[in-house]
Amino acid sequence: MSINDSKIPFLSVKEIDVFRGATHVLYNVSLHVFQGEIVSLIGANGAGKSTTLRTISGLIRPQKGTISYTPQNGVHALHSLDVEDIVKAGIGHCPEGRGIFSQMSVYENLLMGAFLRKDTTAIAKDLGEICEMFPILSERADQPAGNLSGGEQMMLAMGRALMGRPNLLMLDEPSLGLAPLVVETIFKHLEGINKEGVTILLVEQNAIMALALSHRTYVLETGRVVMEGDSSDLADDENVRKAYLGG
Amino acid sequence: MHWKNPYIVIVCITLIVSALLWGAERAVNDYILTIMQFVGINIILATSLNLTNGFTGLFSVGHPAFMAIGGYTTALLTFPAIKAPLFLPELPSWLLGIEMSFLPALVIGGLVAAATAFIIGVPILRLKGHYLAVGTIAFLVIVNVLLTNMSSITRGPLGLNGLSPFTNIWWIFLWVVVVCYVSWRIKFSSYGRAMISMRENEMAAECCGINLAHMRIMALAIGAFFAGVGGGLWAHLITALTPNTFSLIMAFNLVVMVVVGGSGSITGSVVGAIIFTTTIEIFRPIEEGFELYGVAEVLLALLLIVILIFRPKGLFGTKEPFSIPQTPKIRNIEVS
Amino acid sequence: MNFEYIAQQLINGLILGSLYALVAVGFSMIYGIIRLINFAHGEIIMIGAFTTLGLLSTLGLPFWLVIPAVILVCAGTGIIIEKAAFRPMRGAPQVTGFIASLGVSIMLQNLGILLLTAQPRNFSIPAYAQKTVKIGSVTCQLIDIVIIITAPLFMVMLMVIVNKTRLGRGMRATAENLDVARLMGVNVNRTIALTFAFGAGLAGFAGLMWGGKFGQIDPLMGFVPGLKSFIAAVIGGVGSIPGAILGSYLLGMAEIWFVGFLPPVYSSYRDAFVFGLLIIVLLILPNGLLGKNIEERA
Repeated sequence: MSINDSKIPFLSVKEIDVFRGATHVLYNVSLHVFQGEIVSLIGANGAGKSTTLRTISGLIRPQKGTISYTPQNGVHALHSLDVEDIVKAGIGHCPEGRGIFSQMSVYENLLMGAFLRKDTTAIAKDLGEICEMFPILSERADQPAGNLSGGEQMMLAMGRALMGRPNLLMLDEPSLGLAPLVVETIFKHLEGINKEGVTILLVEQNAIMALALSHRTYVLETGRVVMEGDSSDLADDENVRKAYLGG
Repeated sequence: MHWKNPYIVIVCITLIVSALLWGAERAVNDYILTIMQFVGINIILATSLNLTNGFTGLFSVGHPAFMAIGGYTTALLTFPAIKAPLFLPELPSWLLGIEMSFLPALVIGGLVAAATAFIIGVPILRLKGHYLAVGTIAFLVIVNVLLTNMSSITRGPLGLNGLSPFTNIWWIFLWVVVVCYVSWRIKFSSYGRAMISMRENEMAAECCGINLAHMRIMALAIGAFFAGVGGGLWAHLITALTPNTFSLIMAFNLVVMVVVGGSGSITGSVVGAIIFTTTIEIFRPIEEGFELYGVAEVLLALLLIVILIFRPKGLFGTKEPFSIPQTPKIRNIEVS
Repeated sequence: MNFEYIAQQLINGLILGSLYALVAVGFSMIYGIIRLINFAHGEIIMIGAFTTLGLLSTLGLPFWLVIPAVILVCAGTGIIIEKAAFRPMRGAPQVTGFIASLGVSIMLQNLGILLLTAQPRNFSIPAYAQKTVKIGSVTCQLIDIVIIITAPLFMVMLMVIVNKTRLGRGMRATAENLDVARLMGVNVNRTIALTFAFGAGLAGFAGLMWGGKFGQIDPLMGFVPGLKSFIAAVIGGVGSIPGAILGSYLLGMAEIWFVGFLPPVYSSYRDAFVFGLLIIVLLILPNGLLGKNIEERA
């Protein structure tokens, strides 16, 4: 499968420096994602993975560097756009800890995913499709989202992100706190979503699953990209095995 | 700057200021002297509030209530036994007969305020953050209502007047020195460090074995003591006392002094008190001359908001501009 | 103590409760969305009352036009206050916001004194609104009926907006998790500003009604009612709109009954009673009656 046909990366993060308060968190981080790929960003706790995603989404501004997003309709300089505009451009972010609105119903959470959309019929159709993908959501449609189990919440978060019809879907540690079987199901869904044309940028502590799912991987260590390459190559690499795959 | 013996510095500063005051007493007119006395009382009030709020990170807005309690207690104790039955016929007879001299009455006023702080502190200090602030406002209102209505002791809204003008610049100076000294000793002691650790991170402090409830109540009580003394000094400066003096506006003014100066900094509270009092006095003729009542408070409120937006730590932050450490600095530690 | 007296006290409680409710929902909404106890909210009552006076007497506008105008002016004031004083402080520790709101409150009070003098002014609403009406054996003025009817109407409108509209979803999402709401594309600045606008508009309406009912207004009039409305919101569960409504009517009833059914010597203690109630509720039921456990983000 030749995903790297287009020369221009879908998402291009170039040499960003990010600070949280006075602390320097990301040093000269670069990564790119081509359309149709699944790229994963792995690393230990505190490496700066979440910060990277939050910077791409616009919640944090980089001190230096650029982030460009090049979908069908032009180039967007994400590093200077508002979060609202970044979302409008087609980037969905499934945040750390899922970030579901526990006091709103499952149905309302899904609607929040489509917050910026005006096409009501299409929204209704998408709701139906999401419920087909994750039947548990239609079962619990009117219950407060806080009642769902961890795995169900992850499905809700993914469904909610998909309701925005994103071109690029970013997920922050989807496996966090979930049982291995549940993680497998989630990752299978991600594979399916990717096959339907959604480009995925995945941040994970669970390196094994991330390397298995993604086409390419970046390794982040204390704010710096220390390795990058095809996931299959990295999975065989000595250093990566020792540091992240248990030898 | 490091000083080998901090006490020499304190004595020097005290002597210099005393000399200045002695000169001022002879040189300046009564009006300015009165303003200096107000500055002094505000210093006492702001510094004691800084002790409660700034050191421990509590947020108490109830300071004027302690002032009121101390003030009324002192006033009743110094009230001439001859006049008492006329003014306050319903006062219990043992109280009627008492006529104390100023200092013991002030101290007792402070102690009564501190005792009140102990009593209400137990329930109220369980609240946190802005809920504590709201709780202390409630306390302030309740005290106000009680003072206004317990006419047998307080003469209600009319208040007490004709109090003997005991307060003078030297009494105020004495108490300024005491409150600053106490604050300074506490801040640079292990006790104070425990308080400050509470402010920075409660959970971590608790894990270090610090008894949070005990610290909170002590902070409130010590602050209340000095607030009570301040109230007594106030009463005998103005020679009159009404419940309305000790209002939320006064609480707000004290908060302005502490926040502008820097919550946690003793110097900050002193400077904040000076800025505040002089601003009010400068604007008084403007207010009266141009009938622009309220302009000083508007400006002070604006100053507060501006400081909170642009320099939330205040002028001095939590630091003092010079450091007089209690323990000698350890040099050349050998690591084996 | 006869039935008429009790019925009268009930009506009075409903009137006071309705007035508190109009202000308390604003407190609750603002607290819900940005965890701020907005002390300055009570002053909007004063602004509403004086705006009404100004529009009625100075500009001579007809009353039916004045009502929406006052609501709009106060909504606008709420937006201005949010933008100038509270937005720069977003993310600061909660006590900072509280001090700032105290500052705004004092500033508004003194601006009122500065511009309008502390002198109470007479507030005369059109004569027809003062007409006494008898319902059974209970007497009240027409304006009282208006208060008892319009307040719940506004409450219902507000609940519909918050629970059934896209805007309301945006507000609730922002209240729960501001950052994630942004990731959904919610313009949180606009949403928060609108929340202030709603709250302030209702408080302004309350000010109009307050002035109309009590006949006299002064720059300090908003302070104590504002505080009491806040207490009502706390009793009901601050952050919850139904809680604010419930708390308001409970507090209104309690206050009226305290004065109405205890011997008169105690009536001047009514404020102490209300504030004592606040302390008790804060200690025993920190989330109020209907409040959810809203996590404090320290």
